[in-house]
Amino acid sequence: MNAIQILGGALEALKWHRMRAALTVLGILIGIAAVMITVGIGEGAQLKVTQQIASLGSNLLTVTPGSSTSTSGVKGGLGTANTLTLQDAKAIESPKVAPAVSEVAPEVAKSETLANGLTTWTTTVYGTTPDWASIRSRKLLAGRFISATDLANRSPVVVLGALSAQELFGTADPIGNSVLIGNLPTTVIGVLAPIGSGSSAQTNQDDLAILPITTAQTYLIGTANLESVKAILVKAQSESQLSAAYQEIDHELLALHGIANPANADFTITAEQSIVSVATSVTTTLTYLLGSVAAVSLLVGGVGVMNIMLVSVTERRREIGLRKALGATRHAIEVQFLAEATTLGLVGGLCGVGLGEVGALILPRIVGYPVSIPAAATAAALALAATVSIVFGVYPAVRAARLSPIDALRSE
Amino acid sequence: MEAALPSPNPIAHLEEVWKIYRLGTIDVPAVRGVSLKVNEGDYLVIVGPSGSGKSTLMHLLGCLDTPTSGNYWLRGERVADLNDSELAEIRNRRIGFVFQQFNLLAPISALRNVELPLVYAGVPRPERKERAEAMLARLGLEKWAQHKPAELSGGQQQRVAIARALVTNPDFVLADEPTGNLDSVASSEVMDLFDELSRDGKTIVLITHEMDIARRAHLIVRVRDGLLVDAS
Ligand SMILES: Nc1ncnc2c1ncn2[C@@H]1O[C@H](COP(=O)(O)OP(=O)(O)O)[C@@H](O)[C@H]1O
Ligand SMILES: [Mg+2]
Repeated sequence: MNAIQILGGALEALKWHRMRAALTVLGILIGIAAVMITVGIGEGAQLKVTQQIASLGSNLLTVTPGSSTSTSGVKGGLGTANTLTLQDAKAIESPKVAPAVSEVAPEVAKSETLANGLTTWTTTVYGTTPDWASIRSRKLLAGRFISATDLANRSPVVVLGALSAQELFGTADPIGNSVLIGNLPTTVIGVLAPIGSGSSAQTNQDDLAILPITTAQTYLIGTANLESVKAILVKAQSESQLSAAYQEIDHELLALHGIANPANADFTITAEQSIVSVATSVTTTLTYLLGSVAAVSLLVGGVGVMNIMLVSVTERRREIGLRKALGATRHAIEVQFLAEATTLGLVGGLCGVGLGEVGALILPRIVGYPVSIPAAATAAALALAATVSIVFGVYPAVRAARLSPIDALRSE
Repeated sequence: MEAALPSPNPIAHLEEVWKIYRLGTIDVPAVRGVSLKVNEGDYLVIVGPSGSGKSTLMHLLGCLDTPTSGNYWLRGERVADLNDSELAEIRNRRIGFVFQQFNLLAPISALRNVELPLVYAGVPRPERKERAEAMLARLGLEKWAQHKPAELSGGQQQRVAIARALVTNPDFVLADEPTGNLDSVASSEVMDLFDELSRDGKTIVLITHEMDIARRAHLIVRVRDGLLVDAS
């Protein structure tokens, strides 16, 4: 018998048992699609978290006022105290004091209503310095960022986040137009490129307005805390310099604030890098978790397929016996069942991969983040499907083919 | 036991053949030292009560099972020396089987059932179809070629099975109680068919427990408790 005859025979035999063949294919299909989609969701989540963290800026340290280890009532809570000042930022910026630091951007923030004529939009207004864009890895969509001159002159100029610009100006070009921030008339000099679309965290980074910190302090924050800042963003020279920068800043600020015992520090330094590694390990765990759920579902699917195939071969022992009585060799029987099992495995496997890919296309619209299916997961799922169908389809058939024809014929 | 028509070259020759089934620790001897020759053109009936070992004998004659001891020759070839594919070829080309339960494949038409042995003989499809159709026509079943077994009467199904047994033009046809599942009308039709095949020169070995059927044959071999009692 040649290959075409064998395949033709296999297809015909599958047609005789269409319901069983369909169930087998369905079992394989669902198992494979489940593995692909669950692993894809895990991978996608990991990818997204990593990207998001990377977009916050690498080598980044954030100094915030207040103590994270506060135990006494004297110190303010994290980010609410006024213990961090512009002087602190200036000190850290000095290459002599902190050689491991490359860029520094102090930040003040306030929620304000912005108005372009009758159109208003409430957003977070940040006051900061020109280094902010570089530290935050932000690019401009149009215009320019705030400059040292703006800072020195307390210029009433504003850079808008992409979303804020859209809310205030629609599709019109905002550059050169004036915007009223609270009671302060300002001129739009630039629009930040959006970080991305999708979740609310990303949207927040596109919904903001940036003023020179001097302008913000003078006109928006008020005189009470003229010099205090909400945060100081620090970029280290390199990733390897991050812990050196951490120690330099810690040392300098303790000295400036006259604090002898580091445990009493009135500021907190957070390394973004540690968030990266925590987030990465969390999503890796997630991938493993989803992967094992998928593996279990594939296993359950496999057991189902195995059952159907075992029953099928057992029921067909008479057929095997009859075929042998009519002149089929052992080999012919084995090849017939191998061809049937391979066809089922292949059809189920390919349909499963197809369904998985379709799921990967549709699912991001529902769950809100990308689903990326690694080729290895697809390959592993296919290999498992092939193994399950071949082992459980062929092994019992090979055994039946080895029986004497009459033992096979006699079985009920 | 010698067959009545002596021949220098018997188609099948059993010599002191035993078949002992093992059920747990008990040995069940189903065939106890049988010697038998089937010659070209014989119409041989093996008759005996239920459980006397007739079916076992047929399975041995048909190479469907292997004897516990003794020798079996097919046209001078010792069956014990043959490998799986040689045995398959013998079952395919030299022996035609007719079973009590017809043993047709339910999902395929009568025609495809008759074609099946030709598939394993490697006959190309167009010739396969032609030969199967001719055989069905010869047995008066041309109208039923495209019907599935379930759509045929018992007698028709058994005639399809006989067509399948004859289609490779085997040396001999082995039929185990071919009328056992048929009513009397269908039985006599099927038996008439065997008589006719015998008149055309086919070698036939038929197994039955009914004496009326046995009387149609030239040669009757009686079996009791796994032994040949006499031959007439
Ligand atoms: N597969 C088997 N295992 C054990 N005993 C068997 C088997 N087949 C037949 N026998 C026994 O062998 C004896 C002969 O059986 P069989 O050849 O079928 O007789 P018959 O066809 O004349 O009715 C019976 O006693 C039967 O129970
Ligand atoms: Mg019997």
